[in-house]
Amino acid sequence: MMYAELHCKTPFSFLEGASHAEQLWGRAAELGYAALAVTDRNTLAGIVRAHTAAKQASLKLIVGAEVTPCDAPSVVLWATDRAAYGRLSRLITVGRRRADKGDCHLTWEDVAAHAQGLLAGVIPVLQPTPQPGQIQHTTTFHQNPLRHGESCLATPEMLQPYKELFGDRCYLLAELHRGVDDRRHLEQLETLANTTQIPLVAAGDVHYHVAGRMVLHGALTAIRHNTTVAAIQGQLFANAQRHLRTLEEIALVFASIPEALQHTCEIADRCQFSLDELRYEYPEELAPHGQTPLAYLQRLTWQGAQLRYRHGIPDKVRQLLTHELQLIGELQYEAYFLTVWDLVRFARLQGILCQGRGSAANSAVCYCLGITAVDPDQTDVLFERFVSRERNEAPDIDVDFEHERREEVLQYLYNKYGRQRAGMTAEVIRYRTRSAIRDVGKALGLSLDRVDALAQQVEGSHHEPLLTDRCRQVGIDPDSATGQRLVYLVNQLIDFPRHLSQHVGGMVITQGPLCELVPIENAAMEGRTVIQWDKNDLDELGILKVDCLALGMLTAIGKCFVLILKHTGRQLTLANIPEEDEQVYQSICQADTMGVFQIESRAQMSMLPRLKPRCYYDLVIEVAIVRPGPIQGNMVHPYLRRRAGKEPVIYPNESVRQVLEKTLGVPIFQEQAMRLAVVAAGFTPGEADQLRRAMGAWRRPGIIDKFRQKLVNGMLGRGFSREFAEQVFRQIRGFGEYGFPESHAASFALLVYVSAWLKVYYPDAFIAALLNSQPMGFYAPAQLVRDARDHGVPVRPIDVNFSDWDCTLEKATNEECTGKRERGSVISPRALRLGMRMITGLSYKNAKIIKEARCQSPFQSITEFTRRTGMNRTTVIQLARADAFTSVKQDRRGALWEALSQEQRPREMPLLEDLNDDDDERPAGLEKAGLQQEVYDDYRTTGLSLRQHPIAFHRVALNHYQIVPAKQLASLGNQQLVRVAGLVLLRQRPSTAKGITFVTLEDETGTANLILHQRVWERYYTIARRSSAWIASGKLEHSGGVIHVVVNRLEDLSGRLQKLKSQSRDFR
Amino acid sequence: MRGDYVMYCSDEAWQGGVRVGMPLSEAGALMNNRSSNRKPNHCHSSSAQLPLTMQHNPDADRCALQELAHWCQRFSPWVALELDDEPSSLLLDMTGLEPLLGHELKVSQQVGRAFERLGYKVQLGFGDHVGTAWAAAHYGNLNTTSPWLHEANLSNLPVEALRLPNKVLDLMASLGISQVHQLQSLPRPALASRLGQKLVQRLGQIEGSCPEVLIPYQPPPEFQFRWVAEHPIANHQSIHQALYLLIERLANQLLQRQQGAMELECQLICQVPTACQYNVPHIDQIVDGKTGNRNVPVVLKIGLFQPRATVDHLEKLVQIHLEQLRLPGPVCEILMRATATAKLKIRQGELFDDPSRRQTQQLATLVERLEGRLGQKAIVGARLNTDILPERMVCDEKLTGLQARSSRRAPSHSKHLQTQKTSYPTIRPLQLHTPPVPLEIIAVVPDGPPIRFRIRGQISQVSRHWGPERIETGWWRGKSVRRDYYRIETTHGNRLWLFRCLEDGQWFLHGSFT
Repeated sequence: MMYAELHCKTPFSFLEGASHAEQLWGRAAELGYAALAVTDRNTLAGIVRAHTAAKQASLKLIVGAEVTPCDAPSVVLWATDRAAYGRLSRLITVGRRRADKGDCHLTWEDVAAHAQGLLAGVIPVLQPTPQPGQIQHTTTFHQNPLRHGESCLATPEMLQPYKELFGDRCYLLAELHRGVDDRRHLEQLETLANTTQIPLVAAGDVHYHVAGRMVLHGALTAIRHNTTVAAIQGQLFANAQRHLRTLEEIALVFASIPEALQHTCEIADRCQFSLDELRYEYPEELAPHGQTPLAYLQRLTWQGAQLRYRHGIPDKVRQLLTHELQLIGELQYEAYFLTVWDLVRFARLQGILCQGRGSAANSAVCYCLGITAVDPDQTDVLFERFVSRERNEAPDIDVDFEHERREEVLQYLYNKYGRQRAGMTAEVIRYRTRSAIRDVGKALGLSLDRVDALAQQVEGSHHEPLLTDRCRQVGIDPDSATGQRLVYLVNQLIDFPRHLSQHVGGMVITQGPLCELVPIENAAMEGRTVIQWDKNDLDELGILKVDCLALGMLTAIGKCFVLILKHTGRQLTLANIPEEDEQVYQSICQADTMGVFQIESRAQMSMLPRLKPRCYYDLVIEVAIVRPGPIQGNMVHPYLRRRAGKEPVIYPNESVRQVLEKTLGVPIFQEQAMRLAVVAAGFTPGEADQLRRAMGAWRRPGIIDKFRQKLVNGMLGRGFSREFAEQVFRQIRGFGEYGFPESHAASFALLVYVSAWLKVYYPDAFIAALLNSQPMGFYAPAQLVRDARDHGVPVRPIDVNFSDWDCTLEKATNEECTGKRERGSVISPRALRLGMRMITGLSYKNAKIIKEARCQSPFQSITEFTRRTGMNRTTVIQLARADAFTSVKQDRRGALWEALSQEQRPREMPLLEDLNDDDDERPAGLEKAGLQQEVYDDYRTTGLSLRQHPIAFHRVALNHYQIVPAKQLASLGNQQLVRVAGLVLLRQRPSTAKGITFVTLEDETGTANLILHQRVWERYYTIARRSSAWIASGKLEHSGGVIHVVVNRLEDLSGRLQKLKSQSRDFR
Repeated sequence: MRGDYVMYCSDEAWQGGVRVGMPLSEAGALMNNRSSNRKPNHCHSSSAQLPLTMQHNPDADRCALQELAHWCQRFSPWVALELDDEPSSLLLDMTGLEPLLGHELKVSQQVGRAFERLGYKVQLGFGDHVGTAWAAAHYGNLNTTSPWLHEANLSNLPVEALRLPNKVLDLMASLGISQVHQLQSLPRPALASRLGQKLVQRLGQIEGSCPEVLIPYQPPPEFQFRWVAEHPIANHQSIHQALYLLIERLANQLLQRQQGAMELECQLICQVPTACQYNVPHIDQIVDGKTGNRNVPVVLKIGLFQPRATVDHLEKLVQIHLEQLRLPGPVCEILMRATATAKLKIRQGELFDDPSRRQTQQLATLVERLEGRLGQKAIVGARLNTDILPERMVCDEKLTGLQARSSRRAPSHSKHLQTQKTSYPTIRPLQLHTPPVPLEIIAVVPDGPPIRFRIRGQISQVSRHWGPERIETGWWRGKSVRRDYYRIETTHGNRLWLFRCLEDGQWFLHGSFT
């Protein structure tokens, strides 16, 4: 007997299908099915997985979907060919775009409009649905039960339209599951089939691959209905028959209607569509009329090269370009390059900073087109890493845009290509251990606090092998019946898709309508539409996407350029910043990099004085080396030693030297690992690329070990020592945990240099831009402002008469310029005026109104201010508390007193217009605030104070306790016992640091770097975790210009500073 | 749980670093860490203790405070709850009580001790006005010889003592006003326009210039009546008379409030001579020292089908219940209480009686009387469950009392009954055998229905069969149940419902179609 299963759900019918595609198609092949269809409810999100799984299992895949019109019986539609598939995809798009995210609203009309070429299997819902206990009939499983009422019952009248529409392409699904009365059910079906002349076809309504998955399906159903299994049991299937049954069982069940079984194969034969037929076409309109896209791309590339290399294109680049263009032409990627070029051109026109990153920086074409900024003449580019003939895989261009303006770029794409042709890539949100515990716990009806406690215990993302131990720790007995169920279900549920979200920035653009390639649905965010496939699906089918990513630093740099242009007239771009400036490297070597891209973290800062970057390429290494990957691969210290000349650099042979020479024999980049595999272990470039992908698949660390044998053997065979081979393998495996490719590091290093250059030469504009781009980076505004002041930038407080929403630059007075300056070398002729955005809770709208209202003349009094701006009382109070009325009324408390007397909502009072009824002074009962109080109030309202550092008020007391100011640490001897005190700026606990927490304390003289070992952290947990100001005692450690205090005791200082709004930034 | 925050915490938790407003998860982590640190070798296998937490329930807090207010009437006839959305203080008017209770210091000690006996810690304060007393209790210095806060000492109080919302306190902090005397020095009109009328009112209240009323707490009425006999009576006639009296009063009180009883409790305190060994376990026995008699309460609990306040009916029910009992001795006291009440449905009488209405009336009367005669467990209703397992599809439910009333009101319930009625009689038997009767199978189709089997010694031959219907369910309860059900017709014309247990292949008879 031949049988093809035509009705099967995968996990992409979210929380309905209870088996993964591989399991389903694997099992179906094992059982000898002729084909297995994928028919998820109102979605095609799972078909690519199914396609891959079916290929692996060498089983025929039928592509279809279950569609649920609200005014007709539900129907399973199967695609016979590419055109029919396109219509199915369009149909789902119509329903999805009409509804909210996650929903689909379709009518019979819609189905009728897209029916051509599709085969239909109507799902009959018969009059009495005799399922005991199952009170409401099966339609309750639809997402919207109310829409599937009486009208959807399969009466002959309801079925007739289907028959008329689909003709001989219409079938009636006979699904028998050993229900209450299968015989009667079948009789009814046969009567129906006879009256309507629609042939019956057997199907299984498969939800999982084996009967045992009934348990998981029950839990999923409960999760979907947000209740417990016990509460929803009446709606569960009465038995486990909705699995892939054996052919014998199917033959038995359908023994009385053999023709229904034959029809399954008939349908399978009629469906000749395969996903392999999907051919992706790039938009072609970018080339001017009469010119092929390739010719146009060539022209643009050579033109760009002329611009990039004004003194003549170097031979190396010329060769690269010829080679790349040839390959691009061969693989027909020219339209893709043009698409990205167009995008970047648009951004440039709009003044949006952008820069390509990732593997695209390996391409000289991308450089000449202005997409990337890494000069191929100066670095070793590996174009095969980007586009390769043998891989036949879509290249991946990632472009970073200013994070506040990326939406403009996305909307440009939507507008240019239309919603029908452009869509954002989806991201499948899957169950992790923590979310699985939460949902399963709820479904099993466990008490919420236990479930929550357990969820807190586990690491969020990784598979938790010790789940049973964790259960014990929170008081759930894993050996109890409930405990066993919990552990079993959690393990099963992990990695199940939960819903679709949108990818961070991947856009797919097509020549033809995109919705005929893949359904498009609404995203939760307004103005966004998302396709139903994720990144892996697109890769699988070779569809290109452009990643439009958001980068905060680009925003800051962009704003900085604008400020510099406005105040000095100098027009800076990413490309015209003077290169290799000595002074910039000088300050980088001194770790004076607060606010600088990438190298401002604690770890980077402590590495800078040791690595002493002196040129651009050193920065590339710096960016790449202080990463978890190289740290775990134990590459940092050998590199440091070799760079310092403490260790000789020995290469086993000449070919290895060529690969590793520029990084002193230590593989730091992914590309080096690949090349090393080629030259030392005899990998083909294709195999090396597989190795790279294995490095990328960090989530499943087991995979890379497969390459171990091959790598080590290959190297032993080429005469390398086993020790060297094992070491190389360890280093390569380290990349499994976040390593950088060189091209990526090179792109980032450019931004590092640009931001460092700006910080050195325009510290005023730089700080203003950073503050205006918050939140971003590692540091809070208080530290950034302080750093700027240390560099000689005068900072002025927020004032309604001078401040805009953003921080601005003003002309500095002479005495301001001659003020104290500690590290800076450039005298800033401009002062920073803090913007009203620094005031907690103030809205942009209000700041704008204030700015407009003061155009005519400055505000003279608070009453006048209220009248002219129309601010309500709450806002005026907010401003007064933030001390923004200094120029109007000297004293903060007086201003607040005045603000409090304002009308709740100011009214028009034309007669009193000129009356200035401010009370002259604050009443005698109000005392003027002390300096300390002022500082506290500053922190409370704006998070920083320009008056004094809060710790300064305690200095006398702190001296008494023999607490050392941070600045003096440098002058103390190594290994000396010291005590420091300060505000906690940040707590950082990298996963690679074996439980060590890095903490930065700040006092009025500077910052102190603390190291807390796990046991100290645990012992002083309460203080360590909660307190915002510490007294820390410990041993001082000097090494290579870096000073740490290794803490062994903590005390709380925050009691006295409780009212500060200082918030530490904690990183894990 | 994710959004839960700490509302209040104990001193121990405070010492552990827990603060009000902290997310609960963080508080839990803090306490966890403490407990694991206390153990010298913190081994991972030991289960970490979670801190004891309770959901914040302002209603329960208010109820507890009301109970305390009631209790406090032993100190003062005039006890009020603080006027606040979430009151946390009790206000007692002590005016004129000095002759009775003595000096305030003495009173405070007395009250403190009384609360201590209840297991509470109490913060007391005395003042000329509500405001001062409140301030004394919350911010007064308890070490001084007198807990009395005099107006002269007001000025050094913190502004928090004024019972003001946080927003105003916050503003005052910004203005640098931390003590009451600072406020007092500011012009009142300016204060009112800036910091709100409330502040001025509170200031007036603490200074005594602004009156504040105490609204005493009155507990809601209890439907409870007591009758005490001069001499213990054994005469049934007299007992009935007393009962009738009590029920009449109760019914009157209920009617006044348009309430009907859903549950009645009647306690008859009987006097039993010590010599008589009347063995009543778990009933409190109170021995009267003088006479050597023990008082044995006999408790009747009567549930009702619908709320009632009809004297005759209630009396009849009590009588029926009483008839079942033998009183261990003469009755000296009777306590009649409606432990649960519900709103009485009062409809205008109609000219022509609506038979359906009378039917429910009659049903109610029948149920209540039967229950009186046969006991509570004897009269139950059937309710359909959504369970798939046949023996769990129906369950019994109590028909009387408040609980039954609420479950009867569930709207979906009656609907279920109707839909089920129409679709099942032929597919499911009306009667199930509990437990299922094991069958001895003589011949069977492999993986199919039986052909011949023996039941109660009789051999039956299957002539027709329908099925199988497979049921696999119940994994979340314990071992899952897996069965194949067949409807069969024997050659004798009996229609039976059989199943085969899929786990062990055993056959059972589960029901018979009639």
